[in-house]
Amino acid sequence: MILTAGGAAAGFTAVTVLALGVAAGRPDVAVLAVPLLVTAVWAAAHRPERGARVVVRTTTGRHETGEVTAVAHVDVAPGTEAVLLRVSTQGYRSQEALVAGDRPREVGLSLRTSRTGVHRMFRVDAMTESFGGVLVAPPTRTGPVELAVHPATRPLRELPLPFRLAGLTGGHTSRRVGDGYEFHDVHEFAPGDRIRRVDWRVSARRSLDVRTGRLGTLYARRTFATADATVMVVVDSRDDVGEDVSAWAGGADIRMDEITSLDLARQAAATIARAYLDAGDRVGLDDLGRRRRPVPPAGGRHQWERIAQRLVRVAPEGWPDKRRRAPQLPSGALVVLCSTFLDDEASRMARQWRALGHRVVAVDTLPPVRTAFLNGFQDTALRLVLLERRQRLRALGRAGVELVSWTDHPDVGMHVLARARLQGARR
Amino acid sequence: MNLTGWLTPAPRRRPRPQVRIDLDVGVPAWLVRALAGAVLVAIVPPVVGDWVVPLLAAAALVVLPHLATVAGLTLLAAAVVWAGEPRLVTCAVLVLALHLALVTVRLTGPLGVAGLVDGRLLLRTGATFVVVQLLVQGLVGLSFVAMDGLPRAPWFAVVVLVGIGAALMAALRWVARHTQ
Repeated sequence: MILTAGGAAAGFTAVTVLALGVAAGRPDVAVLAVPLLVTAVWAAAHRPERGARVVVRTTTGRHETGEVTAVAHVDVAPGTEAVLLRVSTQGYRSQEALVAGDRPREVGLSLRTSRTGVHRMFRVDAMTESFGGVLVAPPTRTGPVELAVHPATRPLRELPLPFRLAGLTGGHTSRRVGDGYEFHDVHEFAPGDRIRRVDWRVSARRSLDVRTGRLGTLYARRTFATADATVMVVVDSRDDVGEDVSAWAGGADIRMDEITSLDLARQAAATIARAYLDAGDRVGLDDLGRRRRPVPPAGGRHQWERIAQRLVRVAPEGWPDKRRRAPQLPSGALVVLCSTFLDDEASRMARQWRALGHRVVAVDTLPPVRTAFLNGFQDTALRLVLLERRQRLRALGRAGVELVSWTDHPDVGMHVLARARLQGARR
Repeated sequence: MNLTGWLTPAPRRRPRPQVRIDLDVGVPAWLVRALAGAVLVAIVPPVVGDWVVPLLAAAALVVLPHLATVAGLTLLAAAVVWAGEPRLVTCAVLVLALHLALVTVRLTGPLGVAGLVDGRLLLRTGATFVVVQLLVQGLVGLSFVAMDGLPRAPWFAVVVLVGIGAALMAALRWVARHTQ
């Protein structure tokens, strides 16, 4: 423990005043020093043997955009009167608190964030204080801890389907004849048809011999088979730009209470993947910014967990090489590409996929931009960048890629795409 | 050229969001300081017969809550008492005010204005304050009872007592150094 300068000054003053009072025969003066003296003596007599030990733990459960919480476990030694805690996180103003140190305790920490992904949060600096704050222990530092903040998904009512449904069972009606619900035609009963499929009314009308009262040929109702869709969600993690354009070049920190393009991309990818998985389809995930194995398409709850874990760790990494070819995707898969389209790479990939016969939905994840802090040159540069981007998106539309803006009622956009009858598309 | 451009306010960035420490009961440090300052202003001027010095002292406590401030206030109070006739009420109120200042500094000194003081710590410190204050007020009473019979020490005794004080401080420092 360290004697503070203020504690030394107070102690010396107390002794001096007491001495003067006693020497001058003025106990009314001497007694003024008693509170200071009692504090100093009590602090020296009951000093803690060690400083507090602080451990920061994340709370159980899944962190989603909004409130993020953690717990600081403060273990104190006997003699500690108070522990000064300072909690800080990059992008936030720090908060201080002086908490009682009479027993070990858990202190809740929280912050509000609009960001998703993996962030280092809750660095805790702690300083142990003896009685009266006369003696203090050297400050200790704990954390920050890594926290994965998942995007919150939103409901989507209708979803676009690939041009061709390749699965053998699922929630959608395919073009094949098989077990399903939608009527296809009435056909002569053939080996392999189920008895319950026989349409007795049609059979009676067409092949009943009235003289003998026997049926000649049986007719069976055939239905369209059901099938599942294969969807590849592709996230472009090369860009992570916020609403404040002056921070795009890295000169300023991106605010933690504002959403960025990558947050929107995570949210869009998670929402779309969740919606397709809930519908019984198979969904995979790929990242344009990293050369690593994609999450292959599959269905079910475990696949959702795999996708969510991969999505939350999607982040820009350096400056990746240009791809010569678009990543290979399962045949007939619907491609959902989430990108800002601020450069040609993502749009080139989208055009290549479309040329290979995939149905491609381009989800625009550029947030609404704020230009308040730009100078004239920067403003002009931004206009040029946005003009290029607009031309790029128009070219995508001409190439048959469908566009949805994730900042502008994406559920309506997906609904429109789901209802659209595309030229050249086969059901 | 826009001649009125300097009249339009420049865009300002919003303050960054704040991390929160979730205490069961957390009292803002500024509130504790303000209350302590208000109490000082309320109780001290009637007994010392002056408003300016207590007001400055309270302001010093609110703006700069540090143990050195309390040391300065103790010296100031000692000077006031020394200069006047011994009065029980004056002495008792000044002791109360100094102790209150000490507790306020203890609770809010390490914190910024927006810092939080744990409610549990406030209660514990309040209880300690009451106990110590009872003891000290008892001493005040005793000192006035015994004042007439107390012999005056010669000046060299003052020097000896200051030396004892310095030795005590050195001992405290030694203890502190060897318990780090």
